[in-house]
This record gives sequence, C-alpha cells and structure tokens, in this order.
Amino acid sequence: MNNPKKRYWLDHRGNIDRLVYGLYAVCAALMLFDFFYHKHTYFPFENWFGFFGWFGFIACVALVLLAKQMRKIVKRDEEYYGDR
Amino acid sequence: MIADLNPALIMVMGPLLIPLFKGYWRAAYALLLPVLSFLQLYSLPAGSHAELEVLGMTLTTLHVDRLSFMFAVIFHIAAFITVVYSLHLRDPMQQAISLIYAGCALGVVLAGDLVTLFIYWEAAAISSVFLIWARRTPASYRAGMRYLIIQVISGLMLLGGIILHTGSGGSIEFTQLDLDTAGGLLIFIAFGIKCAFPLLHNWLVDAYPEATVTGTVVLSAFTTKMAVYALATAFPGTEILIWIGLVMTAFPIFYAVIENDLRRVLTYSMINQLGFMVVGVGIGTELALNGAAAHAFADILFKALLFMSMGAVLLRTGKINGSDLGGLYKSMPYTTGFCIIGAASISAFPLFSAFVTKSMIMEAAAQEGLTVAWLILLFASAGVFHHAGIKIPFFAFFAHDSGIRCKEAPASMLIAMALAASLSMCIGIFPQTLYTLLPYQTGYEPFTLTHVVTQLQLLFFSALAFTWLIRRGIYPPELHSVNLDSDWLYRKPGAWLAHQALHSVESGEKGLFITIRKLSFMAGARLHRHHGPKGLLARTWPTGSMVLWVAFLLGVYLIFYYLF
Repeated sequence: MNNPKKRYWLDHRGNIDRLVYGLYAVCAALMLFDFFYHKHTYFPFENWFGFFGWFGFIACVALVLLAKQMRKIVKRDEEYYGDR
Repeated sequence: MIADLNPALIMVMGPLLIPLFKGYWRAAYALLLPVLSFLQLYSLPAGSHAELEVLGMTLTTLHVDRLSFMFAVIFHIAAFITVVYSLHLRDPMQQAISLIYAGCALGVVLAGDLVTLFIYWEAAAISSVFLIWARRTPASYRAGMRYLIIQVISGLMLLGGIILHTGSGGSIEFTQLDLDTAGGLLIFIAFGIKCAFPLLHNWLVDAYPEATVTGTVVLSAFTTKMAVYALATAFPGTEILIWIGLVMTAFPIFYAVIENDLRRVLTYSMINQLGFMVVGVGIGTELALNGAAAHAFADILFKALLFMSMGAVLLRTGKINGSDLGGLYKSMPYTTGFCIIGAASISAFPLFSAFVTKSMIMEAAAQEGLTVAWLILLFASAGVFHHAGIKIPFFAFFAHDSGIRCKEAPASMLIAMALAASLSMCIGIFPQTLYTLLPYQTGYEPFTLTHVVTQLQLLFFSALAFTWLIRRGIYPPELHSVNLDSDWLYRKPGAWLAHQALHSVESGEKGLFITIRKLSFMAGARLHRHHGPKGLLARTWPTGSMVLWVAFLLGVYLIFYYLF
C-alpha cells in the first residue's frame, strides 16, 4: 500500500493547467500544419482547412450534449429492475 | 502433428482434466492446451479435413482457409492470454470453462459445414453462460438466464435456417449464402443476434458486465468475433450490412457517454467496434474484408486489454462504477499504463493497432464513394476516442481522487495485460506482420502523411472537446443509475405480459377448479337425490317394474333401429 498523504505531480492544480495548455498548443500546431502539406483525399470537403480538427471537436461536443439530453428519457434509478 | 485432428477438440476435451491438477501443474497444463492446439492448427494444410458421413450427409468438421486460419490464430492468442489472466484464480471450473468456450468458438471458425457450425455455435452459447453464473450473485444469475435464452434462440434460428436452406436444395457446405431465401434470412438473423445487431444487441450490454472479473475478458474475445467471421463467410458484400454496421457504430456511443459501470461502457464500445467490422463485411471489397478481419484481430487484443484493466480494478477495489473510482493511478500505475495503451489502440492513435486496421475499412468506404457512410464512421471514430479512449482511463485512474488505496493487480494479470499491450503495439508499429495473415493481398499503406496528420487532428480535437466540456462543467457527471435500452422491452412490458399471462392461467386454473368443484358437487347432490338412501332409484323395486324398464329400453332401441 502506498502512503495516502503523498502528493503526486498531478495533485498540483498548476500542473493540470500546464497539461491543458500543452494540449491547446498541440491542437494549434496540428491545425496550422494543414498549410504545409498536400492532402491526399477522396472527398472534396476533406480539403477544407482543418476539416478533421473541427469535425472531431464538433462531433464530440454534439455527442455529449445529445447524450445529456438522452438521460432525461432513459435514466432510471439503479433499483429500477429490482435485481441489485 | 496428428492428421485430421481438429484443434478445437484439444481445447474442448483437454480442459476436462484441469480439475485433476493442482497448483503450478494446473497452471502449466492450462497454458499448454492452447499451445498444443495452436501447433496442431499450424501443422494442418489448407483445405478440408476430417470428413464424416452422418445420416447420409457429408460433414466437413474441419476446414482451413485464410480467413478461418486468421481467426483461429487470434482465438488461440486470446485463449492463451485469458489463461494467464486467470492464473490467480482458485476456481478450476472457471478456468476449464473458459478454455472449453474458446474451443467451441474455434470449432465455429474451423467448421466446413453448417451442421458442425450449429453444434459448436450452441456449445459456445451454453458453455459461456457459466462464466456469468460463476460470479454467484442473484443479478448475475438472472442476467445469465436472459443471456442464455437469447443465445439459444440464435441457435434455434440457425438450426431452422439450416433445415430450410438444405430442404430447398441448398448445400450443407458452409459457404456464401443467399439472403433472399427464407433459410438464408434466418441464418442471417441468427448471426446478427450474436453479432449484436441493433435491437438484437442487448444481451451483450446486459450480461457481459455481470460476469466474473476474468469471465468478461473471455466473453469479449469470442462470441461476437465468431459471428463476424460467420457473416464474412456467408454474407460478404451484402449492402444492408453497411447500414446495420453504421447504426452499430453510432448509437452505442451515446449510451457509453452516460453509462456509469465502466465495464458496461466497454460493452457499448464493443458494439461500436463490431459496427466497423460489419460495415467492412457489407462493403465486401477485398480491402474491406481485409479490414474487417484485421480489425477483429486487433479488437480482440485491445478490447481484452481494456476489460483486463477494468477487471483488475474491480478485483482490487470491488468497485467498477465511474462515480466511485478515480485517482487509482497512484495505487495501480502499471494497470493504468496498460489501460492507456488499450485506449490508444482502440482510438487508432498512430503506432497503435486500430490505426492500421480500422482505417482499412474507412479507406474501403472512401474508395467505393460511400460519403454518408464515411462521415458516420468518422463521427464514430471521434466518439470512440471520447468514450473509450478518454472516459475509461480518466474516470478509473484520474479524475477526482476517490481516496481508494489498493494493491497493484496480481502479477499474472499484469503479464496478461503486458502481452495484449505489446501485441497491440506490434500491430501498430509493424503492420506487415498482420498483413501476412490477411485473406487477400491488397497492399494497404497506413503511414501516409495525410493519414497520420488527419488522424491526429481528429483525436486531439476530440480530446480538446472533452477537456473543454469537463472544465466548463458541461460534461455529464457519472451517476448511479441504469439507462433504459432495448432490454427494457422484455424486462418490463415483456415481463409484465408474462406475469399477466401466468396470472390469468393461475386464476383460470382457480376458476376451472371452482367450476369443477361446483359441478361435481351438483352432480353428487343429484346422485344423492336419486341414488341416496331415500333416492328414487335406490328403493327396492318389484320385478315387474324391472321388466317395464327393459321393455321401455327395447322400445327405444326398436324405434332407433327403424329410423336409422
């Protein structure tokens, strides 16, 4: 067993912020990379600037927001089926 | 090795001796079985073996081609890894059943005819349910029952389909089938149930998370993948499969986002991955079929890896709900690392397995100009990273510190995870090793600049979306709850109907009983009136009246005689 009092690198709020800023930087760099190479594509829309980036972002936000709404319909108490 | 010996028989019969061994000998024996079986498989030349004449039918109980060989190889690897994973168990029954079940699945992919296929198909269903029941809780007992009923229905539909198919002059050989015939359709639905087609899927999310720690890992490898194999053999290029597969990739990820039980989240992501394979089979080009087979191969490894890491968490903490976990990286650093490798593999990060396997299916869809299908697959790819790639490791090992401090997973579990993790990375880094096993030679190159950059954009912006939603507090919290899915139909209205039917039979029975009692009472009273001590017919009669009665009866007889 390890010491429950021990503070880890991720226990510091500042380090989490650093990770998040790192993520922003990587995303920005990947987006800008689109200027510097020729895409080999099948569909014309793949050539839109940063298509895969904003598609991924919007897809995930839409996924979560829709799933949240879905909870209103499908969420039930844990005892609903009465076999816990 | 031995000519014509089916490797599946080694895996099905061999484990029966496991309970006879103790300690290290049992471990050694259990590990030896998949190795022996694999050597036997490897020694078999391609083609048909072990033909049997039964009831005028020629059964090809063993048939090896490139597709079945590839599935047989991964089934052996999975069987070996799951044996390693379960070495800590002191439950020989579970260890034996795991191997028997793996052997049945092996029998399915090596079956050359439909009758052999059916026998192994049913045997896999029956053997696997013990992995759910072995958890020995009331919930797992009931979930196992529901699972077994649906699995057996799949088997019965397969049998019905086979009878119709052969009855209308179809061959008993297990080869491409026609969906337009009644027999073909029944077989298609039987495969569809095991492959978790939409609305036929719920046995999977219902039962798998109720199985034991090791049981879920074993279950995740075989049943659904043997169904993918069966679909790829019998129905390649069937267009409806593209649409079925697309629904499978898209709808479960919504459930996965709001599901709290992390093993159940993984079952939803399993349907999502199966969807990719089904789309591949539906497209049916050589590249697409290669993609379906390759992705099944990779999925068995990374899905087992993810289930193994969650199993280790469940074993050590006794908890599996996202709402109860968090911060476990402090106690289980190795498990965390392996889970992240599994997450990267399922999310198709470059240098991890799905990057080379899933993209074959996407590439095939693009080559065929299936724009809508391709966009849905892209959405599902972003979604899978979101719910399986990030959510699983995040809520189990990071997020808020739940304060749980436990031991790292047992060494045998860590070794099993290490095996699956290294194989997943091996496929991702050296895809050529996997390509040599593929059914067709297509020469797909995954590491193009476009593919690497676009995939990284998709994944990092999905991660950005997750981060933004979490930090803004928009991300739905993990809650203790159940989410209604299609099993609601048979667990609520279905159960209500069944109860009503049973009740009406019961009350009908009661009513019938009362009526019978009333009637018999009335009949008794009447009998008593006429035959009782004071009854008319119980009196002593003079002989004359007896003669009168006889004469009366004779008269009636004569009238009847003349009339007819």
